[in-house]
Amino acid sequence: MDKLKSIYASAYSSVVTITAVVLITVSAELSVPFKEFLKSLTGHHWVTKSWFSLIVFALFFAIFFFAKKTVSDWQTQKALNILQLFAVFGFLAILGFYIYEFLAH
Amino acid sequence: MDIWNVLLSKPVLIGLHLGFAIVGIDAFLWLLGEVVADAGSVKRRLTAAWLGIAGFVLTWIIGGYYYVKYYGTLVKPVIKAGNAPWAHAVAMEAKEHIFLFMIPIVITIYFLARLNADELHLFGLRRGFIYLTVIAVGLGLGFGLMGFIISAAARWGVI
Repeated sequence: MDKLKSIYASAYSSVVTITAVVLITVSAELSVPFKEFLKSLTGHHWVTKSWFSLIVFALFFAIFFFAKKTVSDWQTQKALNILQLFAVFGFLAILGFYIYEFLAH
Repeated sequence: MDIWNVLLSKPVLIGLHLGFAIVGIDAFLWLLGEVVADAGSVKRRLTAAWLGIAGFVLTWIIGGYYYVKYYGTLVKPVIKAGNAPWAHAVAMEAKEHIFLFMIPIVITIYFLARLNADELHLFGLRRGFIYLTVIAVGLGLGFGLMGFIISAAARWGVI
């Protein structure tokens, strides 16, 4: 059923996007050359990260959508549960990182 | 002064950024109510989801334009020199980056909104739908709080 497959693909693609955003955010703060590289692509590091998040989401949505012929309701439930965990952990990871960075410097 | 000059002026940009964020949050609260109440209209759920997505996309574009064009040169130095530099170092940095996973989450919510009440029960997805929508609304309200902290630090941080 395409409706379930869309939810499944969107949930897992969101999980990949959240992970990628956390990694690129932390990496750019820890490496000035990497942040400069991101800036050089669009003129601003955050604009590059914005495009990056959209491209990652669209790409992985297509991969997860076409990787399976069908998905079960249980697989879709699991994908949604994992997304909820990653959304909360992604929020805490980025907020926690910037609190740590502020207190450490 | 033409309409573009008005729309692209700093206070109007901030107002539109906040206004569309409120539209996004309220639309997903509406959707949450529809799902919790087991309301039967898929059309209403999709309207709420589309409205929410449109609100968050517009607040992203408008807030992003303001951030790139004005914030770094005009606002950030004021906050960093004030008595609450953490408002930039923590609240602004966290807000601008955490927002990047808001759009994937609300798109997932849109796909869930295509299911009717019976399908949500049949597939066991109702609870996950509710939790994910609560997370989206919570993130939106969290961004609002961070935005308030940033604005307050810029306005009152040096007094």
